[in-house]
Amino acid sequence: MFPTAELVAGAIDVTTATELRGSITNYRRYALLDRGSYQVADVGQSNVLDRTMSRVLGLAGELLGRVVVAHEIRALRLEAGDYLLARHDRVHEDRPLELVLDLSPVPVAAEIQYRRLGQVFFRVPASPRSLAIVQRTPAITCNHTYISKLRLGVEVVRLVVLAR
Amino acid sequence: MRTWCAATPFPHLVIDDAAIDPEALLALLEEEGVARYEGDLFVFEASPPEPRSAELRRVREDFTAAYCEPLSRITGTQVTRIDMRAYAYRPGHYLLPHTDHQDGLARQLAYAYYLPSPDEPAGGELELFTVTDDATTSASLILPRPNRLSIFEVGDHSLHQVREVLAGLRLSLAGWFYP
Repeated sequence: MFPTAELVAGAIDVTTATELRGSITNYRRYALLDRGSYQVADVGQSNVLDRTMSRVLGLAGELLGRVVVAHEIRALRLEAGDYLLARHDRVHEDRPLELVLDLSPVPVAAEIQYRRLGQVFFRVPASPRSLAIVQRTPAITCNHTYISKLRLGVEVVRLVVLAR
Repeated sequence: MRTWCAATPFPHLVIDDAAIDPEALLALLEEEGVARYEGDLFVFEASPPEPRSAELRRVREDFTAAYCEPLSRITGTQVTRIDMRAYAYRPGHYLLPHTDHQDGLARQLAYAYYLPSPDEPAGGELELFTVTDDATTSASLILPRPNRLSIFEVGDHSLHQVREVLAGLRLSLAGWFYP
């Protein structure tokens, strides 16, 4: 049986996405360029985060028919020229759920690619307010595609949650 | 050889006016044909790993005859054969930072020969990086000038990229030298 890989459009409303995106400010740049170029932030407790997590965990729970609990949350911000390569991805022996909530202000020509044995089996477009729900296994890797410098000024913000 | 070893961030050299008739090389690309390749590391168009046309195989033989012996002397690494593919980078195409080194492949030297383009590219520079434990820093930028050959040593340290092409068309022949 294939692992879960679903995309939910419009998972949260525009106001919540804007408020949550604005609340994340402590980004630091990762720049070991043979692995990735991006900004990452820990996400502190807040009312908007609580509301958002309740919503996304609820959506994942509905899909799987069980309670889903978050155990790691971080935010990624990618601008023109940024990317995360598959070799930078972690091996997930414990088979967590990966929930990726797109907090980008506008759609961007970029995607997350989930691969099995190197072949892309699930593409997550940078589509504001969408939620990707992916069952990770040790055989699945993930990369965030390069953001073209032909579109200077764009920004992709993703809330990445590992859950069980 | 002293110049080769002293080059930073890792041994490399650039040879201008590398071929006698670059326009003729450009013409053979139309015969060879390219297809789109896409991975997490790259988007570009390239010919198959083994040339389709007798003309490109002949160019590969000519490069082998012209460069293996002098490069063996200059680099101190004995090389006797090369592979060769044609590459076309259009706007939005790139090859992100990587080393070319893979156990078991015996790549000794990497090369790229830049062809004249009917639409001169912006971007597409070959960028070489200095690597430390906690950072990678741009150290050298080689412009893809027509009839220029760039060569560098392949190893764990040879981190490089082809910067995104922002306009025009970047055409090259590229591959590796082997023992």
